[in-house]
Amino acid sequence: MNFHIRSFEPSRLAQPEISPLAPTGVPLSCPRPMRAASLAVPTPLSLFGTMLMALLAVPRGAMMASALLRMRHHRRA
Amino acid sequence: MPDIAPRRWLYLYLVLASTVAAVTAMAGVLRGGGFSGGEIALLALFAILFAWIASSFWLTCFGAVARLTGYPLLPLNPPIEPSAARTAILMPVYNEEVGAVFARVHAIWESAGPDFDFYVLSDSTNPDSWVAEELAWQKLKTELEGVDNLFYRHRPRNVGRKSGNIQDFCENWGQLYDYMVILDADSLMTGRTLRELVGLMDANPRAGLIQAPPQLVGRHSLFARIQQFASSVYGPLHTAGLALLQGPDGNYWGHNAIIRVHAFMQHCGLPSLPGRPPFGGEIMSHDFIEAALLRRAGWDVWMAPDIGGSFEEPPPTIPDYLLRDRRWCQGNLQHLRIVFAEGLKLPSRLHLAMGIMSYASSPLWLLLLVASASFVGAAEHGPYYHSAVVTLVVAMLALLFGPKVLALAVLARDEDQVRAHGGLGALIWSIMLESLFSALMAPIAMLQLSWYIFTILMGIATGWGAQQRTDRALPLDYVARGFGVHTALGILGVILLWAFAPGSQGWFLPLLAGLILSIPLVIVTSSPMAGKLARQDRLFLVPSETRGLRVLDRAHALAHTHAAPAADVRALVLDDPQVRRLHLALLADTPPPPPADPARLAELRAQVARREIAGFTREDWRMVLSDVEGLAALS
Repeated sequence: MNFHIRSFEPSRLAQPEISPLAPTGVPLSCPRPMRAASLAVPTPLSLFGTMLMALLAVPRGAMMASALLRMRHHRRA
Repeated sequence: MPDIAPRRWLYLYLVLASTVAAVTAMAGVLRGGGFSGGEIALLALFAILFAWIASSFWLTCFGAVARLTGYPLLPLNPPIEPSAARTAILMPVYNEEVGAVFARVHAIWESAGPDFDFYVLSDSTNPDSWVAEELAWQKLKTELEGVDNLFYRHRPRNVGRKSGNIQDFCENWGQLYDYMVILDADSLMTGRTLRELVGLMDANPRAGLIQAPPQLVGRHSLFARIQQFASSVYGPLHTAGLALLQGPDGNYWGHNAIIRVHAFMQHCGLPSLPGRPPFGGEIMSHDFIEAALLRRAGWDVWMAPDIGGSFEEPPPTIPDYLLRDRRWCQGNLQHLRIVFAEGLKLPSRLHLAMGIMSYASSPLWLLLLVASASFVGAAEHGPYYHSAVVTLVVAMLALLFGPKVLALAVLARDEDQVRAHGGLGALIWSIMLESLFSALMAPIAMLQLSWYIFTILMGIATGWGAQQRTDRALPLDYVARGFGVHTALGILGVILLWAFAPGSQGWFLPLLAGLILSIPLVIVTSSPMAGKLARQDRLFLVPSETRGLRVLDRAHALAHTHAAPAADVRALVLDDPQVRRLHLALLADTPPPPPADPARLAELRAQVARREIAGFTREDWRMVLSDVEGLAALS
């Protein structure tokens, strides 16, 4: 294999006083977790949403019920 | 900033008034001897769909008025330059074509200079891509001698997909920066635009996000060139209309936008939705939600329609376009769970609802068409039937083609722009052919999206795989497998109409033609040769083709220099000590992967020692390449 890397130097940020030098690809991390935002739905709308989801699940339920019926029929046969 | 409410009320009035007028005409069509339950349902469906296309039409009209009057679309303080802010440019990548990605980074770096820190944030799960990215990063750093602001990070597991990737950046390095510019793997931005965005953020401390709408450029297939042309000619009216109506309640399109990091970190952590995919689990289309969360927290979200210098590439073929829509469709339908979330502003809810409707409209159109066909075949017609039908058809055609005529009228005022699109004659021909293509493409997309929605409702989730971004001609057998059903349904439609509603085929011909011709349409439009021939005939020309675009031309020119150096770059880590040294050094910065099965790892180490690697699976390679101890022992 002829491919060679000519050099391999540590990378660093432009402002070393903000970020200490890191040995490789990225600056040293300053960890600070992100808190997950709440996307809760108010109760009345949540009920509406649940009904909507139930409605959307109808075709899926119908398909599962039909598959179950077919399975029972197959077993009886 | 001028009060935005009157123009929003006017827009609402125009959409509702035109819908009421159309529904009245439709009622004239249906009225035979009173309305049956089915006819009322048909009327309701028609009202929803007419309102949907009317909203798009009036949006374009607002855009045209803004363009013709030169109305200011971004009422912000002018940018402060030079800026003392620290800005990171983030390019999240996931199993992308490495040469093209690093060529784009290289081209943007050349344009933006040393004012920004660049992060290639890799979530690649393909070991080939992973190692190729490391080598391309190192090669680019070597080429740009003395560069100390180009960083590469690889995550062992792509938790949370792109939003998880950005969150990982924020949590580790976000505190070092005032702003971040998010790119996509096929994004390009110029240094001037990047500096202007930073200056705008500096000058407008309430701005949490500014979206620079990307223009489609850079691909050569006929399909891609048609999309690029449409983006260049119609896009300015659409973005102007949006900017005029949304004001500070803008939206985020996932990339080519600048974001205030501390606002994002404080408010845009995304929760996992209860339940399983496709409706539960990780939020797939994160961008709309992040914009809504910023607005909820009081930050402004703007769109800068005239900033320029912001580009992306379109999907090269119809199947690639539809595959991308499959993911977007699932992501947008998932927003049904979020659209009523507590505290969101009404415009944010509307953005979410319009995203949902842009996919839900497909099965509704299908339903309306089937119902209309049955009505035409079965119903007795009222006295005003023919005049009402003609009125409706003319109204629908005006809504669908009016925006194209408006776009031509606005563009024709600027001679320079007309020349950049190939001259007036070529421009008119291109618009006519693009309209024909859109008409043929619409039923294909309608059928495909209806199928996607059905599968999503069945609970079949899709992944968020890497996108195919290269131009290529598609083989007949591949296209026939994908679009045989469309063709068969088109032929079946003709037979059914002939049998049950013989006088009505003419009305449905454009729809059925698209389905029947789907296979040749996909093959011809996927062809780069057809794209080239169209270009020779001055069709679908865009300014980036006629005048050139430096950042794009550089990215294309540099692509081959950043391509992977060998067919199997994974093996280089085993065979080349310098590549291994680089890989180990980068691994030291990577969070450890989940613990591997010790017995399997020992077996793999032994196979590596004997170089019996031909049968390694992707997972085997991932284990080998993550095995610091084993790789170090090879040295």
